[in-house]
Amino acid sequence: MKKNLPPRLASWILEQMLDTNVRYAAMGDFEERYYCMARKRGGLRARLFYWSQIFVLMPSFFRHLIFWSLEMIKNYFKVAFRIIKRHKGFSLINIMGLAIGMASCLLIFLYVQDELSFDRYNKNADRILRIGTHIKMQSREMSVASVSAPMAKALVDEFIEVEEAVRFREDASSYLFKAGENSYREERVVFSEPSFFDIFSIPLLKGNPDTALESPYTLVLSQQAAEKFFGPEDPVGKVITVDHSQDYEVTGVFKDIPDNSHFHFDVIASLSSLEESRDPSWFNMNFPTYVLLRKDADQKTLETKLPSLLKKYVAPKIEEETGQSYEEYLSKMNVEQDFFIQPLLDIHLHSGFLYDFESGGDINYIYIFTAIAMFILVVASINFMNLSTARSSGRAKEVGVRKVLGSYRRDLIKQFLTESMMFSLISLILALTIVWMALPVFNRFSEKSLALSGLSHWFMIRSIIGIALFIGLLAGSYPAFFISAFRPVNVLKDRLKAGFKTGPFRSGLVVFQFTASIFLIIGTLVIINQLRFIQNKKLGFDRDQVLILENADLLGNQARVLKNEMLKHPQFVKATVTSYLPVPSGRRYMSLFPEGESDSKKKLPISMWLVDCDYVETLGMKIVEGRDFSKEFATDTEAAIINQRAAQHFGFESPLGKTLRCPTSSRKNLESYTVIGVVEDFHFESLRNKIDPLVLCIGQSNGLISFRVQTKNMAGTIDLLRTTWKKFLPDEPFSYSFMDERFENVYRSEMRIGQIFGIFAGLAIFIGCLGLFGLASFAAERRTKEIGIRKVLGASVPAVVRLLVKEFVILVAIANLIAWPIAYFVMKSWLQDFSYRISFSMAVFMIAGAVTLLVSLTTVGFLALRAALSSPVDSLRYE
Amino acid sequence: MMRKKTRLISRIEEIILLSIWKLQENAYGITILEEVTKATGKTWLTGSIYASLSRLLKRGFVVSYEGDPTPERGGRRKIFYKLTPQGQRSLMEIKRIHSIAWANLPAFDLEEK
Repeated sequence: MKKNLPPRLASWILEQMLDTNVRYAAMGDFEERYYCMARKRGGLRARLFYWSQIFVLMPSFFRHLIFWSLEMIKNYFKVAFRIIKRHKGFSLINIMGLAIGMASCLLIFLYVQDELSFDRYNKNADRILRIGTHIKMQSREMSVASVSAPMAKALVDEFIEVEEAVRFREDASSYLFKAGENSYREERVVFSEPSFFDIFSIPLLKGNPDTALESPYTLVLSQQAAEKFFGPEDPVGKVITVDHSQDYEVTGVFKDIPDNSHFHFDVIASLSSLEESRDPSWFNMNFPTYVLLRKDADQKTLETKLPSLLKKYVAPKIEEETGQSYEEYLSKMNVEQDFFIQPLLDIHLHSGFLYDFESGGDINYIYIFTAIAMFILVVASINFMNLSTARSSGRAKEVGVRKVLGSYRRDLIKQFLTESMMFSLISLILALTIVWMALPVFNRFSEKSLALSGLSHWFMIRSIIGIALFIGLLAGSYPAFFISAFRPVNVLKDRLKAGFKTGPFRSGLVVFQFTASIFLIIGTLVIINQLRFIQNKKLGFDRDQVLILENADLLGNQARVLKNEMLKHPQFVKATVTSYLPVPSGRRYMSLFPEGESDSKKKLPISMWLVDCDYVETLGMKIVEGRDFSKEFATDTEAAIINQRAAQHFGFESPLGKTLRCPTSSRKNLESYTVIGVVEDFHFESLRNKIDPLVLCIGQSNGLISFRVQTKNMAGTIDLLRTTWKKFLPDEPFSYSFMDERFENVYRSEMRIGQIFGIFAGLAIFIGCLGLFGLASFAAERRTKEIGIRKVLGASVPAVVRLLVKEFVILVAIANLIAWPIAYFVMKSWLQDFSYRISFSMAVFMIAGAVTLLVSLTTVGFLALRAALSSPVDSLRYE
Repeated sequence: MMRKKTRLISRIEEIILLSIWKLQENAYGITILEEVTKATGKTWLTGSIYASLSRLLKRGFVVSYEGDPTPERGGRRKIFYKLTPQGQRSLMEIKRIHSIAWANLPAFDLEEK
């Protein structure tokens, strides 16, 4: 008999499914029938019967379950709404805090999502790779996102992994496009090949993708450009004259390249138009090259095979030219060269190579933003949790009564969780509204075009609601488990009050919140200080009031004429014609070495700029030794001015009169320059870097004309320049910039990070204070009676205020002590990026501490004062 | 005359009450179920009579009491049911209504048996 017990698992399940009222009797019945069945029809049938009861019970079980849980949820909602209505201010604080937290999180999320979506519009995105070159010369390393012209063909020929390859050739400069009457200057112009349309998912709306870029002097336009040039007419077959010299035929129109692409072109011209595209040299690395991997191929195998190209194609050339073996040559010159592969999807966030099409994002900022988003969300959730727990004092009685009336602890937990999830859902709705309103502003300063619709696909909706519910669950869990554990007897007898001081857990949360806020404040201050330091640093030149005329090369030899023309006006004080400025502009590197040291290790390329005689004076640099260039010395065409760093680099003790040599295009000849002056070091690159050696010499370089102006009426001055320009070149669009603007652009991303840090620091403090306000108001309310008695016994108002404020001030002080070292180390490592940086001052920490202390004092003090001023008569009879 | 107006018992309740009365001292889950099955000719689920039983309990038509622990119920006691006077009255009431309702009816059309 013992062996034939009914199946244990089935019994257990049945027991769970049965209503408590009938469980005992019914279980007995099941067992009795089981034995009866076993006797009559065998154990198997009996067991089968026993198991089948589970399924038989299912429908009624679920009907029951759903009915009652719905009923309970209805009740939970009702209670929750009553609570919201009853404690309006409190609920508002709670919901607002969470909503602001969620909104900032959503905004950051949209931003990050957009950054991560770059180039994913390509159907074959995961199979597209960019090939680049890595060069190491002596100690200088260089990564170039381009390779030589024959590389693409070699890749397709040599490696079965490569399905197709496409080359680009881009000039930084712009072209003048003239179609009929319309002429525009286009900057986003690239030369490429027909395989572009096979590799990238940019559809050709008009024209044949296989042939559109085949023959020389053809081009395709973006939809937008086509519209601009030809309006509604069909552009295919039309002719565009480029730079007054070459006619190109329009062979197609491609769909505008999406925003989240690492390149944007308005015009793609056929690469075959360029003689350079047939250059067999393996050293002319001007061609960004992309390959499409075969579906079954692996990037790793291709990577391991790449060096074989060097052996096969580059080595013989070197041997032929130098008579040395490739290895010998490399070790003698101390040069290393190899190719690298970068997946398309990595390009946007891991860029920063020479010859990138556009400067991309930075994966580090993605990490920082994500961290901030988490930060804010955690701070907001903590707030939520804190406030709900604080409020529990007011609800202890409710719990007691519910328990006495037979509520299970489980039900109470469910009730509190439902309530906090409801709060978080309301916050979510509010957060979405905030995001919707804030997006235009956010877009403006993040320079993106984000839309709320970015959140509207199914996966997103699910995860956002999921996260909101999770926060509700998380935030509600502490009060739910904490409050539901109250013993009704204690609660109803009012014994809990004594134990309701701010517990260590809640204090810990407050400390954490303020630590986060203080950290963000210090971060903001350091970033702002560093940026201000950069802007005010003595750069060695004067960047203010310098007006730069762009595209001056169009003037040709007239550049100097225009310059002199402008200098006739009193507003234009000085001017210099050159493409090379100590702000982002042209750059030129030459291998220079001092006379007599032709084969030395110093033979690495250094900056050598072509300027004119007025350069130093116009830009306000200082000559520390020797003299400036002068028109009076005809020999100055072979003279050079070097900076102090260069003097050091070349090892000149007395640089004046020394000769520098540099190889010219015809290999055997050497140009030589005599040093006539030394200019004080000035920052011609970003302050992130140390000042490098620089050599200035007289030469033709017409890219830009920089005018030092002196005027109150800048608009009028610009107009003056424009009218003069139009006199010289009526067809050409006029464009200008200011030197300080160009300078500031270098630090744009830092500036943006500074702003974002500032905004989120503000938000974190705001949320933290909301929490503090809520907590303090409860502390005050809780102690109404105590305060009343104290006052009756003669306590003064300041004494009472001090009593209430003390607790919170201590917490904020602790938070300061924790935040300072963290902020110190984090910000120190951020500053490492800058070669020229501020040192930490105590003031930053003091300010952050003072701000938080002041803000929290005001918040709490206001409430404390109100409590302290209330008449004891009211407070003692409030029950 | 002045009796509290009570809702009439349903058919299944009537059958259950009758079964309990018939079983007298031996009325518990299984036997009641068997009686009901016998009377209606349909298979009833073990759990299904408990809904009615607890309703009858609540309305005071039956009371329950525990028997001795029995080995075939895994050491559980049988829960026996017994009609209360109120339950008996309700049966009488329903019978009275039935007989009134069934009296003096014209013959039914489906006489062929």
